[in-house]
This record gives sequence, C-alpha cells and structure tokens, in this order.
Amino acid sequence: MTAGAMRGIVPEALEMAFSYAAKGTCADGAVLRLETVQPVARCRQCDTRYNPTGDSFLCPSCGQANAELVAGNDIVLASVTLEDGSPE
Amino acid sequence: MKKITVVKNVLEANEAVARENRRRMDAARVLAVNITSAPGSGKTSLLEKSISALAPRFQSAVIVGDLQTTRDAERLARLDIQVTQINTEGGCHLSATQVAEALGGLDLTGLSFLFIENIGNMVCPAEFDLGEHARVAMLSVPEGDDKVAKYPTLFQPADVILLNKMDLVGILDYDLGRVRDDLSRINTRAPLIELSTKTGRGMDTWLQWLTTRHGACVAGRAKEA
Repeated sequence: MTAGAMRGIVPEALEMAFSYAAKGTCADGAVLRLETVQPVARCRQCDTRYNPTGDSFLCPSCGQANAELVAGNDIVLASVTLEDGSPE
Repeated sequence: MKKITVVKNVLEANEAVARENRRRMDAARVLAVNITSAPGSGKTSLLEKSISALAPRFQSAVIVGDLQTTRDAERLARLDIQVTQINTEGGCHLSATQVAEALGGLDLTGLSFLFIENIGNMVCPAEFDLGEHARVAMLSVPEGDDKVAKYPTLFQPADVILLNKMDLVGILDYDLGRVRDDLSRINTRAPLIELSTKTGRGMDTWLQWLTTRHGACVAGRAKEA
C-alpha cells in the first residue's frame, strides 16, 4: 500500500489493524508493506508543481499559498504478492 | 511468488458517493457548504445567525453531525427549516455516505443553501469530501492564535476562513498578526473573515461571500466534482 504523507496515516496503527482484520481469513499472517508518498502540490496561480512541507505551501515560483494537492493525499492498494500455492 | 498489481484507491468508495452528492445538489441548484472547526468555536451559532439573515431571500437546510445528542438540531429546528441530525456515536467526522443518507430525507426543492455542520474536530473532517461545493474552516479567538499552524490540513483546502468571537480579541491578548502570518504560508486563496456571531461584526462580509458563491453555483460555475 502507499499512503500520502498528508493523509494522516499512522503506519503502526494501520499495520496493527490489518493484522487483526486478516486473522482467520486467507490473508492471515500476511505482511502489510506501507510506503509513504511525499506530497506534490500544483499552484493554482502559476501551475508550478512543487513539494509542500507540513507547515508551508508556498509556491517557489510565485510565492502564493494557493495549492491543490495532486499527490500525497491518497491511500492506495498498489499490489498484492501471493506465495506459491495460495488461491488466486 | 506471484505479484498482482491492483492500484485501487482505498478512499474511492467515499469519493464516488461525494461526487453523486455534488451532482444531486448541482441539479437542485443548491450550494452545499461544509463547515469544519474545533468543538465550541460557534458553528451552530453561526448557522442560527446566517440562516435567519438569509431567510428573506434564500431558503436553507442543515445536516448537523454530532457524536451524541440532538441539541444542535433542536436549536436549528427553531428556525423553521429542514434539519437532519446525524449521530456518529463516536465517529470523529462525517462521511459522504452519511450525507447521502441524510440527503435522502431532505426536500431540495426551493432550497438555496445546504449547510453541513461537521463534527467538531480539526483533524479528521479535513480528510473526507462530502460532496460540498465550498469548505469553511472556522476558528475562534479563545482557542488560541496558533491553530492555523498546528492544523494546516484543515486550513489549506478551505475556501473561506472564519475567525469567530472577535469580541474577545482584546481580553485574551490574541495575536491576529500570527494568524495572518501562518495563513500566508498555508492558504492565501481563502479570504479571512473576522467576525463575532455575538455582536454581528463581520456577518455582512460572510453573508456576501455566501451569496456570491451561491450566484456562481446557480450560474453553473460550482466546483467540479
């Protein structure tokens, strides 16, 4: 899974919840791999794409904080890896 | 070992319902306004004053979210408007599905504004699109002048920022400059409206913002899904 850094995901909490949810299912014992995606903003003023930080959304080109988050705000199930013999 | 690529957005379920909510309100020419803030900043008081002031020209309805009680809904029902209370029973934010269910019980005919009073919480409500056209982030003077910097995810996507309880600004040594300075890094798009629901200060500016936004919605220029 990938989780946006601006989404407020606490990896340890998600991993623990996953392990409990998986108990007794075909995913019992599966490992959740979580990658954090750094945020990308698009400036509505001048269309520049940049990486905002938690405390600043200032556009490096025009100096405005008029940002639309285009990445780093999603939770995505990216892929599932099955071991041999698992049902597909 | 076999790797299967999935790429499924986990929040898509909420986003799909949010788009449908927005489409329904677009069709009814209703401007949906999602009001987010900490508990006690004055969301219900703001709605009481705003809805009364708009009433001669515009009809409003409210969906109000709380963990428990129907107190806010009872206050708002005195305005003789449609009010739907959602009790989340511990849930810390409203979801698009809850709003869709509440919408099912509302008659949108003749309505201009649907206000959604979110759960008082400066974190989780920022994360969920409800299908609104405009997002309000509200803060109030007694909460302290550091909240914009502490909760940027609430203020960054907001279309308008309301600073309530301005009648207390002198008593509490509130640093307005600090709020403006933090907003200059977080969100320069949204206007900051200083108001007091108690004295009425700033209410004209806020009501003007609402009616302008409603006009744009009716003209078909509401925010795209």
